[in-house]
Order: sequence, then C-alpha cells, then structure tokens
Amino acid sequence: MDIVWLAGIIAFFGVSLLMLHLLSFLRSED
Amino acid sequence: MTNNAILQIGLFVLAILACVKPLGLYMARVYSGHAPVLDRVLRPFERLIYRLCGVNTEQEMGWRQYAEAVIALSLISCVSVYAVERLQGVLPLNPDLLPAVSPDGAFNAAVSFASNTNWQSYSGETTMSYLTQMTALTVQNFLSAAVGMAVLIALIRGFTRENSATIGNFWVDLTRGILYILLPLSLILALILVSQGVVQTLRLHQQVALLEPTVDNEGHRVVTQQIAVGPAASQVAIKQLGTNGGGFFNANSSHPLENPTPLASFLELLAILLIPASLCYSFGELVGDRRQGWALLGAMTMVFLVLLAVTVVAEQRGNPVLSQLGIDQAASALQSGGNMEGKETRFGITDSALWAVATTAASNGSVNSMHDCYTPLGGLAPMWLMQLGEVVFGGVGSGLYGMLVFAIVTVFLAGLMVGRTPEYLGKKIGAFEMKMASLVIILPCAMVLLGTACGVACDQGRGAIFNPGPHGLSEVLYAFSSASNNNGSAFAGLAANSPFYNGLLGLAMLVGRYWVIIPVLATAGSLAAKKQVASGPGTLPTHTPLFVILLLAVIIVVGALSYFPALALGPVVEQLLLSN
Repeated sequence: MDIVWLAGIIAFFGVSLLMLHLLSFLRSED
Repeated sequence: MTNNAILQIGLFVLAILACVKPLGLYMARVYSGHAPVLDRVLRPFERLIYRLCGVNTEQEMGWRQYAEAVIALSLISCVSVYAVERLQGVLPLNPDLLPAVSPDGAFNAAVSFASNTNWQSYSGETTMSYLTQMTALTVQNFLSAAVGMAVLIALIRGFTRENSATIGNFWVDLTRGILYILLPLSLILALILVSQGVVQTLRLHQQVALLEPTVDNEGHRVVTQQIAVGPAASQVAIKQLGTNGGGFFNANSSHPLENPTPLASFLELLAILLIPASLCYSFGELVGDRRQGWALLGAMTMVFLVLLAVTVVAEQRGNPVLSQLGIDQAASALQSGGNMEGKETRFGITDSALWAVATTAASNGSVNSMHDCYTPLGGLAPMWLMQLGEVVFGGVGSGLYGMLVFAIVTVFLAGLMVGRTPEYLGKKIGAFEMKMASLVIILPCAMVLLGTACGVACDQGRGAIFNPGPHGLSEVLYAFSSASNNNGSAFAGLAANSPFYNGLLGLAMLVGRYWVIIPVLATAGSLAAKKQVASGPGTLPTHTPLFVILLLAVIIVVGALSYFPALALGPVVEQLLLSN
C-alpha cells in the first residue's frame, strides 16, 4: 500500500511540473 | 450582541491593528535583506545554512526555477513526513509505543502539513509519537508557512521590478522567513504559553487519581485516568503563528493543556491573525506606497467584522427550536445564554465565535469549539470565509497573494467598464495575468464542489456522514471547503479517517495549494518582465475607498455565485427548517 500512496504523491508533483511548463509555454505564446 | 462581546472584539481588533505596523515594517526589512537587531545574532547561522546547503545567494531565479524549487521542497516534505509516520513504531521518542500510522492516514497527514492545511483525520495524542510530532509535523509547520510568505514576496517583486527575468531566490526567502520571523516569534510565544501551563515535556502519559471515582461500562470501579502530555507548547506556538492549526491534542485549542488560561487564549487568538494582517503593511512598504497595504487590510477587516457579527449574533440568539419551546436563552448574570452546544463554558459565545471566524478567515484551522454544533447561520459564516478563497487575512503569505489576485481581477473589471487597459501598481494587466487569476480562483472552487459531489454521491462518502439531511451535506461541504482552501478546521460529524476521504481530501489539499502557487508565480514572472508605467488620468487609484468597495464586491460576488447553490442546500435550508 505504501507504494500506491507514495506513487500518488510523486505523480501529483510530476503533473504539477507539467503544468508549470504548460503555463510557461502559454506565456511565450502570449 | 452583548456589551461583553463588543468589548472583547474591540480589544482584539485594536491589539491586531497595534501590531500591524511594527511587525509589517520588520518583515519588509527582513525580505529586503536587513533584519533589524537579529541580523547580528543570526547572520552567521544564515550563512552557515547556505554553505551547508550549497545555496548561492547571489543567484536569482526566474519564476519557473522558483516554482520548481517550491515543488522539489514540497515533494521531499511529503515523502519524508510519510516515511516518519510509517516508521514511528521502530523510531525513538515513542514512549507510548504507538504503532505506525496507516498508509492512507500517513498520506493525508503528510500532504496536510506540507500544504499548510493541517487537516487532521487522526487524534494526535493516540496516533503520532513525540518524534513524529516534533520532527515531521512541527518542522512542516515552519516550512509550509515560510513557503507561503516566500511566494508572496516573489509576487510583490513582480510588481516592483522592471524588465526583470528574475523574482528572487526561493531558498534565501525561505531561510530568512524561518530564521528571522517564524522562529523568534514562535520561541517567544512558546515560552509565554509554557508559563501559562501549556505542557512541554517528553515524559510518558501521566497516570492521575480521579477526584470523583466512577464506573466503566462493565461496572468496574475506575479511580485513575491517563492524561496525555508531550512537547505541545513548541507546536502550538507555530501552529498559530504559521496559520497551520494542527493541534497536538485531538481537542485542539479547547484542550486545557493546549489552551489553559484567558491570557494563553488571547495570545493564541492574536497569533492567528498577527502575520497575515502585518504582511499587508509589509506589502505597502515593499511597493513604496503604504496606502496600498492599508487598502487591502481595510477590505479584509471589513469582511471579517461583518461575518464575525453574523456568527456572534446567530450564536447569541440561540437555537430557534429551543426558543419555540419557551426555553430562556437570553444572556444574564446567571447564564451566558445563546447556543452553548459544542462550546466550552470557559470561552462562552463570544470567544468561541471569535476564534471560529478568525481561524477560518486566516486559513488557520485550530478550533476551541465544535463548528458542527453551531446554528446553521453561525456555521455558514466560517464556511463561507474559507470558500471566499482564504483571502480575508488568509494563510501567512497565501492570504495576501490570493487577495492580490482578486485585486488584479478588480482592476481588470474596472478597466472593462471605462474601456482602458487595466493596470495595478504601475503594471499593465494583460491576457496572461487574467488567465492565471482565473486558474487561482477556479481550481480550489472546482475541488470543493466536485469533492463534495463525490462525497455525497458515493456510498463510502455517504456512510461517513453522522447527520441526515442538509446538516449532513454541510459536513461534507465544510470538509472539502477546508481542505481545498488549505484551512484544516473540521466541522466534525464526518468520519473522515477512511481511505476514501483521506485520499480525496488529500488530493483537494494538494490542488488547492500547489496549483494555486504555480499560476501565482507565473503571474509574478510575467509582471516582473514588464516595464513600469506612470499613472495617468485614466488610471484607477487602488488605495481609495472606491477601490476597496469594488474589490469587496468582486470577492463577494465570486464567492456568492460559486457557492450559493451548495450553501442553499446545506446551512440555508437548515436555518429555514429550524425557524419554521
């Protein structure tokens, strides 16, 4: 079970990094 | 409202306002690189920290790098707290031999403390070892509060800098916030709390003789009781100052060993709003126009006082059903009157309502009464304060950066009205800033409503609700409003310590914290890269009463439109049912 919850935490911050790059791209487009 | 209530509230507001200028000025100096008085003492420690951590203080960061640092620290925080909770059974400083925290409970608590929410689905004294409380939870109280302040300072630099690709160094902002602001204030408050009787020890739970022996369910005579103790004062001080709110004990600030005397109660209450209110002054100081800070503080104080009045009056009037039965609920020399269910007699109506409103306004989450027991209208005000996005004082740093986002939206709307390009503090507000502001407002709101929908639509969600009807909906709505806006207070009446709620509320806390910080930092980066424009005849002054009213209208309209349907099905309909 530990793997599942830790993977959840890591996945969330991974998606957050993707969001960061997406916003960065959005800004360069503007 | 009784004269006693007016006197207590007046004293509290005056005490806060008296601290705003000195502390606000001090914090502005700290983030400008010069901490008065403490510089000489703490500068060597600061340099040592940078050297040990390999931080180059001269190297500034762009907004992406700054956000990556926030994400990296938060990831490490969550994983390390999770690990300590899961391993506490084999680690030292566990005199009560508490076992490891369950995986879903460890996930929820780790995310909760790293995100400055401090939602607690567990009972502190029977779940967390002293080591976990001290090295995992209390450390996160400092770190998460300092992260919020660092993000705010980065956004302020976005306004003050011109044609700049950088918004500061996250590690420097984080270190200075902890070393020069949070640690000294916490040390002073913890020592005062210890002098008042807040417990601070590493001893085992104490076995004491009962004053009045009793019998248990099986008829056995009970003559002793175990009283939980531990290193509470050091955690209580930062939980209040850092707007964290997670109690050492399950009963939080209604526990006599966490909040023992009137002075302790007043100081803990003061500590909740101290830094968020003072940061408004720091903001004015850093942008070079103190009137801007006072305007935002004025807007926050107005909403706070109105919703405080609603709660105090609703609670003092008491339960309408009891009134219909002819029961006297008026305040008199012999009774406090009002709705005393779920409230401590030593706090009474005013102190309980004041704490409930302050803790939900400030994203703190500590409680000295059970919000589930409030009248529907009295419970609606604290819930709505969270739903407004925790911008009425709000969390340390996070409240003000949320308010600044609303200020950006306000100047944009005002610009639309007069057909001019909106600007705030000399920076033109463009499409990108508005997209980021939309994300900041919409994402926590979506998490509250979608989470509540999941809670009441799934069997696991419904099975945890203790009360049927509209009150049950309020319990779920409150939980997701608290988690998504990083408040952490619980309405109670919801068995939230299950994998379903631990997971879902954990996700709400993560989204409400980090998916707000990223667009705020993106806004900071975008603004810093722009040039300053001189104000002209078409510029909307943002320090005037007119702007304050416009800002309040935007906050309330957004809050009202987003949540009115859900509130109508919960506390509003419950109040109508009670009244009829």
